[in-house]
Amino acid sequence: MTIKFNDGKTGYPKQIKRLAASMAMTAMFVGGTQAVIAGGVPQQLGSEATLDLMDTPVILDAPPSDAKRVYVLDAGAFHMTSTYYTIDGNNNKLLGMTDAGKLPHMMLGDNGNFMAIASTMYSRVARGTRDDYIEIIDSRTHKPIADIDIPEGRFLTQVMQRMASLSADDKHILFQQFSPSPAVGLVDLEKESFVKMMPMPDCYHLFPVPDQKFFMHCRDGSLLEVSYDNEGNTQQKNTKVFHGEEDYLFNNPSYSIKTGRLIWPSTGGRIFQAKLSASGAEFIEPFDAFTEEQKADKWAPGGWQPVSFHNDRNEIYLLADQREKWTHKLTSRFVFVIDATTGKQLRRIDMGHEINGIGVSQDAEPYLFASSPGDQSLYTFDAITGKQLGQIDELGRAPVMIYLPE
Amino acid sequence: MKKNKGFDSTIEKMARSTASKTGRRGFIGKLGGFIVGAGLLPLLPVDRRGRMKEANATTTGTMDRGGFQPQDQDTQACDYWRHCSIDGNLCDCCGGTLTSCPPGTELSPSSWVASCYNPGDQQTYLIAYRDCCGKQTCGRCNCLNTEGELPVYRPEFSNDIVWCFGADNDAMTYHCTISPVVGKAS
Repeated sequence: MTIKFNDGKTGYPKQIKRLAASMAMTAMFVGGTQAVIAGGVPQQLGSEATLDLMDTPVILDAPPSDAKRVYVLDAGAFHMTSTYYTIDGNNNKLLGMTDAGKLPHMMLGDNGNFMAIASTMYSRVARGTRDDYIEIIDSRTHKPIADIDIPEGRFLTQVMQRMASLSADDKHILFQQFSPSPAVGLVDLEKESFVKMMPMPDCYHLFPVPDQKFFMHCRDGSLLEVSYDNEGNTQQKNTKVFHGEEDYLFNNPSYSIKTGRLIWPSTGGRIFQAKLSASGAEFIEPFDAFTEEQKADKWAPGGWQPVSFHNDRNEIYLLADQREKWTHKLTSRFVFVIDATTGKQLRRIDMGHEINGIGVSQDAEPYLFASSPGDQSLYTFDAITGKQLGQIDELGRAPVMIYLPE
Repeated sequence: MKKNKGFDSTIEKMARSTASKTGRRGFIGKLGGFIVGAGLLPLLPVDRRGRMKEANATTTGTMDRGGFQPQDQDTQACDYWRHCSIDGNLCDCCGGTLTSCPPGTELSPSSWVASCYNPGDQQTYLIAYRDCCGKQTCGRCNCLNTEGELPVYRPEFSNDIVWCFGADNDAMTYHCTISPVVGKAS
């Protein structure tokens, strides 16, 4: 909300001006008094309620973010509010929580030192006036350090990680609009202000690269390459079509803003890849994740967040199970680790739980994190040996999405 | 003509036989008794456990990796044939019906669609999954079916979108989903 003060030179009669001034003073007085009462300790309480303590309670800060800092989103099932759980993945310790609105998007910036969360709220719970906004949260204090109002145009879907994104240099935030027409919202993070809705064709997801450019994925199977200036003026061109009409790609691919590496499996188990940069898109020859024998035994990927990629190890982590066709969003119990260059299966991790989302840490001794909405839990595995290392339970209603710093 | 004559003759015999055994007063008396008795029926003790079962219904028929196995009997179960590509709460369990929204919600005029097979008549129908909007998520009979469901870049077939576009009062908040038929799939 923006409050504008005028210069007092409007043509209203003096009496009306005085009345308005009087009402404003009254409102300020009443509001101020209420604020004091609401924020204080009730006067009717006895002294027992405010006794001096031998202990000294403080408000903690979370430790600095590292490679095994994990954020888990519980957005419920299209509920009006959501929760991000901050977890130290080294020891499965819950560090704190962050509130968000309906179907929010989290973006980790500055190597995990802040989180940007795009949210939607309504003035009367599920009705009334819609308000879209982006909060910048310090990942140590978990307090907001900026609050940016944006137009009420966020694309509300079951949470897809790449429907909003920081730019490669953390200077801008991009968010997708679907209705009334396709567009991408541009936010200037340094000025903490919304810039413009940039009209787009029928394309989805946001894959930023350096030099104020990003890619989107279009209905015809091509990528759209977009460059933009600080005022939101764009230049757009399409790449070649890189997958067939019946290669149905999952809604949550793996993308590294640091390296520009895009890993995108289809529901049939074909792995499409690209290296994205400011100079364009380089597509890598796709391969099948499963052998013909495995496909005959009905092995196929499945889950909501079914793929993760370890940059230095060049390993694809693919969530999969034996399943019938058209069960691509149901949970899986296994992760296949695949060499991203040769397509060779390196190992298979039997997690022993119904898992809907996975993420692998980017350090030299990586952990595999796996979310289970049914168990309301996050499981931790050694990504090399596959051994389960821990579980943290009672994570809200249905924790699904996993976010890790790059 | 002969057949018709025979039919008329049979009916006439039955009518005469009934008339000879039944007086008008007796008939009116029995009819009155039937009407009064029918009026008293709701006051008699009735086993309403069936209705209690409905009130306490839990989510049933949830799809597993074995795929969607449609049935045509229980509309409040996830495996009811019209729900083959639904992702959300069945309005039938939330105060609405299979094809109507619960009180206080707003019906969206837009939706994703899917072709669903009805095992009852062995026909395939196009279903338009219309969301009922403007209230918090219902939470009951939460189903995740994905028969023919496509990624978000094919939005007309994607069930992951809040399909409240065009609902009155700009109600872009999801409550539940109904499964009306568009017509037979070609």
